[in-house]
Amino acid sequence: MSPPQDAIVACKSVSHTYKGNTGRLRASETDVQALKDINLSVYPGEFVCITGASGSGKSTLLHLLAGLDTPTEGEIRLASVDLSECSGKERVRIRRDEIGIVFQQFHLLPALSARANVALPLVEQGISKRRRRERATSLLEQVGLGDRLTHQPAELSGGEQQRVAIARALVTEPSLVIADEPTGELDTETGADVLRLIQEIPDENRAVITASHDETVASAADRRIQLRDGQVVE
Amino acid sequence: MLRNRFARWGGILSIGWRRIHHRLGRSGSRQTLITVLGIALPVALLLLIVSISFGLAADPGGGSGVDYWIVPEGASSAVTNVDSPQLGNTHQAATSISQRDDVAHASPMLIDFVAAENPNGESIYLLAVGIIPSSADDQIAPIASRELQSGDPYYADGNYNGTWTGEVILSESAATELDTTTGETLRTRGTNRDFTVSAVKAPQRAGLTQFPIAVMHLSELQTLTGAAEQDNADQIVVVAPGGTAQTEQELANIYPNTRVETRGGMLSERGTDSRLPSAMAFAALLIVLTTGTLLVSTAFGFELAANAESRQILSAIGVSGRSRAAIIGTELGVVSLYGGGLGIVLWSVIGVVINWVATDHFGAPVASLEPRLSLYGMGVAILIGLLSLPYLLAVSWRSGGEAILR
Repeated sequence: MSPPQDAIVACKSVSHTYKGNTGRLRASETDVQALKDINLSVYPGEFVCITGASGSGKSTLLHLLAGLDTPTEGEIRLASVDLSECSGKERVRIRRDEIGIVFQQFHLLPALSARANVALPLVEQGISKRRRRERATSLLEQVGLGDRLTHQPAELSGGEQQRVAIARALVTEPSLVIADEPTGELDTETGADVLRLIQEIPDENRAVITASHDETVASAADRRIQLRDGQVVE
Repeated sequence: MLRNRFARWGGILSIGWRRIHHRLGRSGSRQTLITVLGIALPVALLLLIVSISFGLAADPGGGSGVDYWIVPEGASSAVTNVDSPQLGNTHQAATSISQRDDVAHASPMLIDFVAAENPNGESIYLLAVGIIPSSADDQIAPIASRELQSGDPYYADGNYNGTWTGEVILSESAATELDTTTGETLRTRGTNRDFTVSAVKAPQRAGLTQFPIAVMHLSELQTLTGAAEQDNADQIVVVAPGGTAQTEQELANIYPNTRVETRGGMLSERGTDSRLPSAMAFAALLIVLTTGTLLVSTAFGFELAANAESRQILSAIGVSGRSRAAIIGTELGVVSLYGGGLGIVLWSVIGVVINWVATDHFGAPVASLEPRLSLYGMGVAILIGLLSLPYLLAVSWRSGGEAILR
């Protein structure tokens, strides 16, 4: 059975094993199976939250969905392309055009202004400087940072930095936004603001997948996927 | 399409430019500063070695007033260059050259060793330089010749029976070794000619201070050395401040199998040996390229390892490996330019101090602070950056994986 064609991203029988590399021991003695037989489809307009304890495989699954790694078994289809069959170069291109990533620790480039950070993915697309600035400015205004365009990350609060990161994730108009613990570094009030922004992202062409320990985030999602020991349990 | 490429690469270069300035400025990255110094110090050292080696070797038989040196093929204009092919009939040739409108003065220059003895019977070999002095320009010999009578009285139209002046100007080194001073008499061994010391002076270049030099009239030195028979000299020095390329060409045509050296090239102004400064400069270049590349590779390699996360972020948001490499290349290029610039500033400052000290102690500067060396220094700085780049890209590739969602 192949994954549904209209899903933005679909995993079929995905397993992932980290190869041990102790040097002296045989690899099989130190291998760690992080994911086992994951089947998952995410559709446009959905906000999906992956939950689970530390070590349950949340980050590994996000890595595979983001094309930062390839599964040792199974297939992951994004925009009708099987990521596990793609070269590293092709996966970078897919991340550039189809995926936006929001990190727990924001990960903005400290040397660049808020606007330049947001415009960064557009540089790789060869968009002109004028259009990059226009698009980044518009997105920063949408996330309420119209007055922080030229501020550097060090001059912004944690909540403001995460809002810049959300704008950066959306600037290429990706079909999938992946957010890893987006409120993990924020206080409750700021986290709620950021969560509201994330809830607004899904539309008819776009879905959001997040991983979080935060029950508030899980409750806000349309669907919750619980992982335990690398397997989906609910 | 082309416009997209320009936009992309312009943006990528801009990111590299801003990142390195951030590290040099606001964040004050120690590794980046060490990288800049890792280029600046070797470049400054290289330029100092080159300028001192050329400075010490500078100035041929003539002094600072000479613009052209006519020398036989296979010979050099070095003042220590003896026993090489010589020019003949030189008085007539120099007279002919002096009559040109664009020439202020021309003089044959004969260089040979002469054994001189003081009244106490102590003798040493002097590096004797014979010239036709001119009141218009006394800067053509290694020692200024103002105290010598103008012209060449003993030559007497080729008969070598005119007035024997017996004038000689000694370098301080020669006077010290002969234990003599102005007004005292010396005698040449073997020919038993008497000379009176007209003056004792320091050579015009620090590189010649250790040589016992004696400057005298050409015909008198020719008589002492046997060069009078063919009116021989090692070179003809020409003072022609307004000389052109045509002047140079016409001077080259006076004798067959000769060449004309000009003041323009550093290598033309050599006083001791034509290959040593070049060899020193080349050896210094190799050492500096090696040490500079190792320093930059190490310091910037640490910087890259420490900044692996930022490259992981770039990769995660879709910046390609080629673009990430271009960012590193840009950062290294900017660091190389700053290192080169700082090296040139250090070289200039240290060079001026060295020249000031040398002038104070030896009476002449030792470093040739040629502005053109700045370009050389900048070129070497860029070369150090280029040589470091492959290793740094390998470090970047090894440390810039995609594990970021942790």
